[in-house]
Amino acid sequence: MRAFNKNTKVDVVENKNRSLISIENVTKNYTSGIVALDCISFAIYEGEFVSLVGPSGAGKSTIIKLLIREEIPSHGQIFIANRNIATIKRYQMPYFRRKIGVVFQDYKLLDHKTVAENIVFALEVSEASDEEIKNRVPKILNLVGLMDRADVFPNSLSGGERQRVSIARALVHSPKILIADEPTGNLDPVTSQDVINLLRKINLSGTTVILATHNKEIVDQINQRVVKLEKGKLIEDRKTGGYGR
Amino acid sequence: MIGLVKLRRIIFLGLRNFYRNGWLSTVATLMMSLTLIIITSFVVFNLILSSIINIAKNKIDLSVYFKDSVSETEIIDYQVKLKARADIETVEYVNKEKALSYFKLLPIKSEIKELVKPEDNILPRSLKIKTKDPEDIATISEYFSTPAFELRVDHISTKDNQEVIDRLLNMSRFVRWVGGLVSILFILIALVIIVNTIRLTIFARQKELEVMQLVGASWSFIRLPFLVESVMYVVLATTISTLVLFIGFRIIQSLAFQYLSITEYDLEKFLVNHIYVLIGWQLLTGLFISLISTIMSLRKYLKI
Repeated sequence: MRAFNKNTKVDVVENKNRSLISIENVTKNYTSGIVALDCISFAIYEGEFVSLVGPSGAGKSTIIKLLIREEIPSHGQIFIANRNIATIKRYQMPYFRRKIGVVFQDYKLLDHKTVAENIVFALEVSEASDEEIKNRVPKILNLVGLMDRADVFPNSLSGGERQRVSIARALVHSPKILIADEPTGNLDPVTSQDVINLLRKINLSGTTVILATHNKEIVDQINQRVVKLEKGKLIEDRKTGGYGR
Repeated sequence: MIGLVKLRRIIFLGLRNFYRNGWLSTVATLMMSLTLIIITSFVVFNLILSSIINIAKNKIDLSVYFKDSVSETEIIDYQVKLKARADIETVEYVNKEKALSYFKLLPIKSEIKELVKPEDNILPRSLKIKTKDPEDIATISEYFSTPAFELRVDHISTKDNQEVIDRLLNMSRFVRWVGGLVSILFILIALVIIVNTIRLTIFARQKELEVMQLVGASWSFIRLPFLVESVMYVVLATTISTLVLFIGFRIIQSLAFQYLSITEYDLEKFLVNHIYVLIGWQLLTGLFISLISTIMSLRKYLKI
């Protein structure tokens, strides 16, 4: 029997048979004729840190779009917490999105809002109480080390700081899964290291992290599970290790 | 309680966005003002036009003059019969004394007036008939022109100026038709412009919509602040449009008085008397247009 969270209307039962994320025979074709993913299957378990690697056009971003249900697979199914995410109704989408934090290469911050306001905004629009906002925002800003930059607008921040705001925002709903799509793409090596360290810290606290990147050094250094894609096909899935050849 | 907090946040978010997107908000408000000015001035123009035409049309009446041989009882009998008809507004019996008093009021030379004396009153008795629709005057005129009335009716007033009446009626039909057509054309142009302006304000904020969807904003939090902004455009635009209309009509009125000697129609009084209708009409029209365009544009950019 399925159980629903009364507030979120989304399945809360952890699958006993499937892993936290189960990608099963997923193919994604675009109308232009491009096959972005070709019959991909793999599972991600709770608490894992998975690096999704491969050159540009390998299908990393497509997998992420499918995971946050911005796109729907042409064939195959994706289960998150035992629920086929293609069956999520429109009105359930906001609740689903709150369960998954997402970080992008271009940060996607609102420029006319301060650092704190960007985070408050994410809480406000998802109907958190005033008290909850008051408690949670300083904690999250502390976690990402931006307490002293709370009232600054994103345009005055460095790339690394902006990415940390973006991570903070992704964490406001305490998601079980954090997806980072090329989070270090616009950053220098030292700043990239800071961001990766932050992601590892978040992973250690129990959040499953999926990192899509083509940065070899970072993947080698993380030394965790690596799923390698090339031309839409899964060519390697190693429990631990670096980027590979 | 949660509902109140939510409402407060939505209104605050809408107002803050209106303020922070200053340039876009100003453009949208001005475009909405222009739209309302165009729509309202055409509606008011058509109302005034019909009103002026009605004033002119109401002056059209018909007098049937009877020969002296016809008895007063017979004339009053016709009056009663006419009054019973559905297309008749009023029927006034003008006896010789009344006819004389009307004659004395005519703007003619006093020498001519003195030619008719009460003891030797040659003025005929008549029925002054006003129809509900001036177009029916011809029917009444035809009725009294039948052979049955040949020996009774001396003269029918409209026979001389039927052509003028017909031309006035044709002109009023034409002016209404053209006025309506031009109004529809301009209103359509204004609608296309405002719908696209609102689409542009939402297009410019695609990133905000994307972020909202990304962080799991609920249905109401994504849409309602945009609707609050739309309401702001409309409220401000109605204020601007009402002020412009008052000033504009005052200028038009003074010009109409100066060049056309139109004094019978008080535009400003008309607007003051209809101020609530004017504001209410603008608010409703503006809200209808902006809310529909906002909802349609949001649908285009929202994936949820």
